[in-house]
Amino acid sequence: MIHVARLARLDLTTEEIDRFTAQLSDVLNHVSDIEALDVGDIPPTSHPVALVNVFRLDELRPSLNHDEVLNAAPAVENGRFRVPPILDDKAANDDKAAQDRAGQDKAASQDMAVQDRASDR
Amino acid sequence: MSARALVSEIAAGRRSASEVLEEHLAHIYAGEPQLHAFNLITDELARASAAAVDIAAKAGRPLGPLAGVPVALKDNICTRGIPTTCSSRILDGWCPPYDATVVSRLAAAGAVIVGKTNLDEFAMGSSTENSAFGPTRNPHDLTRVPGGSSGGSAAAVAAGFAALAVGSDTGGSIRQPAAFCGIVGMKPTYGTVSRFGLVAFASSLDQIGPLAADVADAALLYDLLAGPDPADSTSIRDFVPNAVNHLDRGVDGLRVGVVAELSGGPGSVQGLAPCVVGRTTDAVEALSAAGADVRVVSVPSAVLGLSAYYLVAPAEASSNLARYDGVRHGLRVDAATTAKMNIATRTLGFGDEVKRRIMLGTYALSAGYYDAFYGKALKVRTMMLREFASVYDNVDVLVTPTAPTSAFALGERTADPMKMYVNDVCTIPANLTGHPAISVPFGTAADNMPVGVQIMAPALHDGVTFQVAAVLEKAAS
Repeated sequence: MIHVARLARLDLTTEEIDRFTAQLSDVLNHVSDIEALDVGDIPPTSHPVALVNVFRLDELRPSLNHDEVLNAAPAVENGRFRVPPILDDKAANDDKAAQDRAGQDKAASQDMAVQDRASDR
Repeated sequence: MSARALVSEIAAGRRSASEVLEEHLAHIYAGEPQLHAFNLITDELARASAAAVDIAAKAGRPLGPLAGVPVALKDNICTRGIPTTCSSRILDGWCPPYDATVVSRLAAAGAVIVGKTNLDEFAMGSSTENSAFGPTRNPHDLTRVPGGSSGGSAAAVAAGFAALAVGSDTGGSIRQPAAFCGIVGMKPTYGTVSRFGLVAFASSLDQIGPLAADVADAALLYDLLAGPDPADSTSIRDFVPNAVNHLDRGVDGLRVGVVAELSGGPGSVQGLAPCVVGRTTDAVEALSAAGADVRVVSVPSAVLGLSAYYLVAPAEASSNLARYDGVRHGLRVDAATTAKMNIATRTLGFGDEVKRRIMLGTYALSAGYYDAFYGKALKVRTMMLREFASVYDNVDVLVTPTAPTSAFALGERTADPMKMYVNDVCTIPANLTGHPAISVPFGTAADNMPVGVQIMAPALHDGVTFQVAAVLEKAAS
C-alpha cells in the first residue's frame, strides 16, 4: 500500500492506510472473477472504436492565450510556470533515504498482494 | 415547460428569454439551499446571454435551436474564464483558458447556461456524495441521494432549475442519476459527442450526453451536442445525429431483447430489487403491446462488466490524474522541493474516493500485476464486444433496469466502496463497448421513488434508443 501510494505521489496517514487496505482488498476480491478467468488468446480491447491516426492540415492556428493559461497556475515567473527547487542538499539526502526504504516497501507490498490473493480463495 | 415549448414561445415573441431565465433563477434561488445542485450559479452571465437572445429576436435575426433555453452544465466541462472545479479542491481557483466544444455549440445555439452543477469528485462515484463541496440531494426526497456522478445535473432538471442539463457518463453517470431523479438521461455512442474540454477521467469510456425532463427534449439536446469535432481525435468523422426524427416511429416489428444476466433472469447479477425487476418487466410488456417482438437473450460476460470496469477506469484515471501536480492548475501546497510539493498538493487536493481509484489503478498497472488485472480486463472487453455483436444479429435493442435499486439514503453506502460500485452493474456494459444507452422513467419502486429502464443499442444506432424510450414514456404516462 505504501509502495503504491508512493508511485501515485500520495502521502497516506496510518489510518488511511488501514482503511484503504481493507476497502481495496474488497475490490480486489471482487475482481478476482476476472483474475481467475481463462481468456485464452482473445485479443485485448483498449478502446471501443478502432483508433486511426488523425491528421490535420499543417497550417498555423491560434494557440491558447498565454496570459490566461499562466493566470490559471499557482505560481509563475517571467512568463513561465514557477516550481520549487527540483533538488536541494536535504532533498538529495531524503531521496537516498527514500530509495533505501523503497527496497523494504517493495517486499511489504508484495506481502500485501499475497494476502489479497490468499483472501480471494 | 419543456425546452421545445420554450423555444417556440420565445421564437414567436410570446415570451422573452429574459423572462424565462428569471423564472428559472427564482426557482434556483428558492430551492438551491435545500438541494445544492450547483457549484456555481452563473446568473449574471446568463442574464447577458438571455438579453442577447432577446435583442436578436427583436431585430428579427434568426434564432438558434435552443435560443433562450436555460441549461445546466456539469462542472467537469470547461468554460473559458469561469471556474471549473470537478468538485475537487485540487482545481481550487482554476479557470479554463478555453471552452469545451459542447459549450461552444450550446452558445451558438442560443442556450443560456445557468450554472455549473455538482458531481462526485472527477466524476468518480454514484451518489454525488464524493464532492469536496458537499452532497446534492434528491428533489423527490431530500434524505436521499440524486445518484451520480451527474447528480447535480439530474437534480437541476428534476427541480425545474434548468430545462436541460449536460452530464458525462463513464460507467452510468448520466443514466443512473436520471433514473434516481425520475428524468431522461442518455449516453451517446462513444465518439459521437466531442470530449474536447471534458476533464478526463477514463478516456476510453467517458462520453458527454443530455439530461432532460422528457425524451423529446433529450433528443433535441442530443442532436445539438453530437457531431464531428476536429479537436477530438476520437470523434467519429461522418456521423450525423438524427434523434428527433426517431421520436414518432413506434416499435411495431422492432426486435427487443431482455438481457437475462442484468434483469433478474437465469445467471443474473445479484442485488436487483424486486420492484425494479418488476418495472422492467412492465416496460417490456408495454413494448410488446406496442407491437415489438420481445425475447430473452443471454450476454454471459455482462456479469464480468463490473470487475472489468473497476480495473480499466481506475487504470486510466491514475494516468489521467497524474497531471494534477500543483504546477499548472489551481491548488499548490508549498514544500521545499518540487517532488514534495507534488505529493503535498495531491494529498491535500484529492478526496478519499479519488485517492482510492488512483491507488487501485496504479496497482492494476504495476509491474507483476498488469497481466493479471488490466490485461485481463481488456480481454473481457473484447469478449463483451463479441457477445453483444452476436446478440445484435437478432435484436435491434436491449432492455435492462438502469440501476439495481431506486435512490438510496445519504450516507448509506459511503463507508463501503464496493457497495457503491455495484450500482453501476447494469450501466457499465454500454461504456465498455462504447454503445449508446438511454434511461427513461418507468413507474416507481416500493418506496415510491422513481425507477428507470435502460435501452441499449449497437454503436451509432443512438436514434433507436430515443425511439423506444418515447414509446415507454407514452406507456408510463
